[in-house]
Order: sequence, then C-alpha cells, then structure tokens
Amino acid sequence: MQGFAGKAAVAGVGMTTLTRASGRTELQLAAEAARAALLDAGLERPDAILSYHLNDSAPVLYLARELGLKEIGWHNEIYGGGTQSASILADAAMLIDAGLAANVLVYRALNGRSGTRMNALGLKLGEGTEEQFTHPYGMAGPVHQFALAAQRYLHDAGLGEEHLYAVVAQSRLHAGSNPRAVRREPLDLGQYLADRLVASPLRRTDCCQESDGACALVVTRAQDAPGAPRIHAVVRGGGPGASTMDKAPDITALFSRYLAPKLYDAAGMKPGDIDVALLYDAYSWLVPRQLEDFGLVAREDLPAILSTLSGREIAWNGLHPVNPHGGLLSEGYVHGLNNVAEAVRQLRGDGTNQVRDAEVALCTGFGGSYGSAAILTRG
Amino acid sequence: MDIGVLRRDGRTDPFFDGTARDELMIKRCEPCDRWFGPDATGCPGCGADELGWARACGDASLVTWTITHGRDPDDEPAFLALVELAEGPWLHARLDGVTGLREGLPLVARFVHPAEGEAYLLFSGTRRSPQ
Ligand SMILES: [Zn+2]
Repeated sequence: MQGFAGKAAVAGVGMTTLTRASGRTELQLAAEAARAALLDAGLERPDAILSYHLNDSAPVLYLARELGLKEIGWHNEIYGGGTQSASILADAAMLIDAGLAANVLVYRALNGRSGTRMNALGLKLGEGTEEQFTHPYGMAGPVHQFALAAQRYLHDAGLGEEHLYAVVAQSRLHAGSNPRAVRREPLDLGQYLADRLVASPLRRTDCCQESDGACALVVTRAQDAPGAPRIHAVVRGGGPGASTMDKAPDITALFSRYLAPKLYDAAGMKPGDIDVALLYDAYSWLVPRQLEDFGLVAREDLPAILSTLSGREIAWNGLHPVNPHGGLLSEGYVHGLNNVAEAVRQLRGDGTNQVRDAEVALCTGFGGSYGSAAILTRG
Repeated sequence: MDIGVLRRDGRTDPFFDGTARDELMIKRCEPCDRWFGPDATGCPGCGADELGWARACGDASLVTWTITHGRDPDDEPAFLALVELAEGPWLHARLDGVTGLREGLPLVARFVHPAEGEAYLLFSGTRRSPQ
C-alpha cells in the first residue's frame, strides 16, 4: 500500500456549466468551480491549491486572489493535460499525508472549445521533427496520432465500426439523464455511419466534446470527512506505444498496459473489485483498449460486449459500468477531471445513473502511452 | 490535402541532400549495426551521441494508416501512415496512390521535387502489391 492510502478523501466537487463558448475568462470559470467545490466540502478556504494546464488556464495565484485569500500555503501548477487527471489526486494526497496541508483545492479550467483547442497543440515529437517529418505531410494533431493507433487496434482486436458505435451510443444514452452533458441526444447506427470521418477509422462522434468550463475538487484529511471517498491508490508513468515516434513493439499500447498491474499491486486489489470505471474516453476506441488492459474484459470477449444490441454491458446497470455520466465523449472535456468528479459522486451515492452499491471506482487519464490511474473507495 | 513546403534547418540536411537525389538517407550506428529514423539524435544501444547517415534501400511495409478528411468536402483526403523500413525503423509517412490497404502491405519510397522547397518523400505500392 502507498503511504497516503486511505489518509486523504475527496470531500467536495464543483463544476461550471460546460459550453462551446463560455464568454468568460478561465479565471472566472476556475473561481466558480472552486467555490462550488469548497461549498460542497463545507470549507471556507483551502490550505493549498494545485492545478494542471497547458498554458491555457488561470494561474493559481490569480485564483487565490479571486477567492479572497489573504495568504496562501502550498500552491503549485503542473504542466500537463490528460495525463494529470488521476495523478493529481496523489499530488494532493501526498501534501496531506506529509502534513503540509489539511486540505487541497485542485482545479482544471479551460476554454477548450472557444480558446486553445487540443488539436492545435501539435505532437511534441522532438525538436524540429514535426516541421520536417510530419506536419508538411498533413499529420497535425492528437486525432491523427490516435487514428493511426486505432486502425491497428481494431484490426488486432477484431473490432469494427459497429463496436465503436456501441461505445458512443452507450455514452449518449448515459448522458441523456445528465443535465451537465453537452451532448444528450440518442445516436442511432445510421446517424453514426453517416457522420463525417475526421481521420479513419474515427468519425467526429468518436472524438470527445471539446468544451469550455472548469472542474474543481477539494481533497482533505480523511478524518475530517468521514463519509467522503478515499484516495486509495494512484500510479503514473508509461512506456513506448501510441504516442512514441520511434518504433514501438506495439503501436496500440496505451499507458494502461504499463500501469494496470502497478495500480492493482499498489491497491492490493484485482479487476473484479472495480465497481465502476471512469475511463478517459477522449476517443471511442480507448474504451475497449482500457477495458482489456485493466482486466475488466478479455480481448476475445470485446466484440460480444460491444455488439450493437448488448452495448448495455458497459451501461450503469451492466456487468462493467463505464462512465455512467456520459464521459468525455458526451458530458464534456475538462481534461478528464470531470470524470474524477463523477467517480466521487458515484462513491457517495449521488451519481448520474447511480451504479448500485458502488464501493470501488477506477479513474484514468492519459495522453497516449503515458498517463495515470487511481482507485477511489467509498468513505 | 496539399503537402507543405519543406525547409532544411541544419539539423537534418543530409536527409534533404538525399531526397534531392532520390535517395532515402536515415541514421545509423555502425558499431551496433542498428538503423534509426532521420530525426534520431543518439544510439540507445551504445550511448553514442552522434549517429552517421546511411542510405536505406527504400523498401518498407505498412504498419498502420489513417485517411484524413478536411472540413471542405472538395479537399482530397490524405493517406497518412506509419511504415516500417526494411532496415527496421518506423517513419511517419504519406502514402500516394496506394489501394488495398492492409497491415504488412509492401511499399517503396519515391521522391517528389516541387518548384519550391526541398524534395519530399512519399510511399507507393510495389509491383507485388495490388494497385
Ligand atoms: Zn550504438
């Protein structure tokens, strides 16, 4: 077990409305989400503040001033995107376990639709590499990189567009009862197949809902929040795979190949212990890939689990509930932190499409073959 | 989608000297007998900081691909791929006139000499692959 296991709890969550054009600054969004999370936690002000961003957000000290804090304790900004959404729980838990703070406000705020969009960020393959070897040829953003890996993954796993459809359709069904979700309408197979291919095999609907908004969590000492979900185990890392330029043993490998065994080891748990999975679903094919890596569904069972008629296996009331709020594909994209917020709600019993008796939640976040994963447990 | 203008920047000039004469130049570590992509900066085998340039034969096979579509339906789709060179390294590449896409499809490098900028690299099917 990790030193901080069970010693820190997520006592509050807060989110702004998610939109396509907020018309507000990242600071205003961050402040609204932070106030909501503090209110939810019953706290007036945080001891410490952590944030992650890609130079597209409100600085921590601006938020501290906006919240009217006369002084601030430990505060930091982590440069990063999706890889941070689970591991930032450990960054907060370590501060608490070390006695550096009694509670930590964590936030991610961005105008991800009307401001800086992820596909404009490039691939970070190496100095000069993109200018000379990828960009002029038309390979621009993460969607192309993930499409290359998706093509090969579908081939290797014996999956096709009907299985990707099942993932998206189930996400939309979940989102239908989530008032926060950006996309709530059901999706039929004909509509899905008629949708524009962005980079085969990925259609527009296979990609997450880039959105404007903010999400905040309040992490406290567990003894201060007896009923709040506990941070049980967190891992971060990765290896060669979908986001490496050099030859990789398997182009379809994601962070989860490397982290799943470490997570279960750190948690003292096995796949059967997971009651609900909050998977980072920036693209539809990442759901079967992670189900497989985290040992929830064997590869040979994926086609049946994701057949059009029984997409319900990943529904809130199915065998392997995934993203019962609709996830990044339908609720919106606050760089994964909104999925962590839903894990907290599910473990408190006030989730969207509440999974019955949810006691253990898996949360993931990544940007290719590097990322993080966490297990939260009921308080 | 059109291919952008390529400019040399001093880091990989031998690659573009190669494309100018229809040769695919990549990096190589002689002591380790290992080949690397043109953007490699060192050898993970022996730790050498400097790698030499050597001519690759131009044969490759398809690892995976994506067909990208712009917002404008009149835009020609672009065929982007990861290819494995016969010498081993992988390259991000653009395919040209390749049909019957499948994993392992044999490909061969060819070079285009635009009016402006450096010559660029494309991969096409071989006589062994269906056209
Ligand atoms: Zn060497």
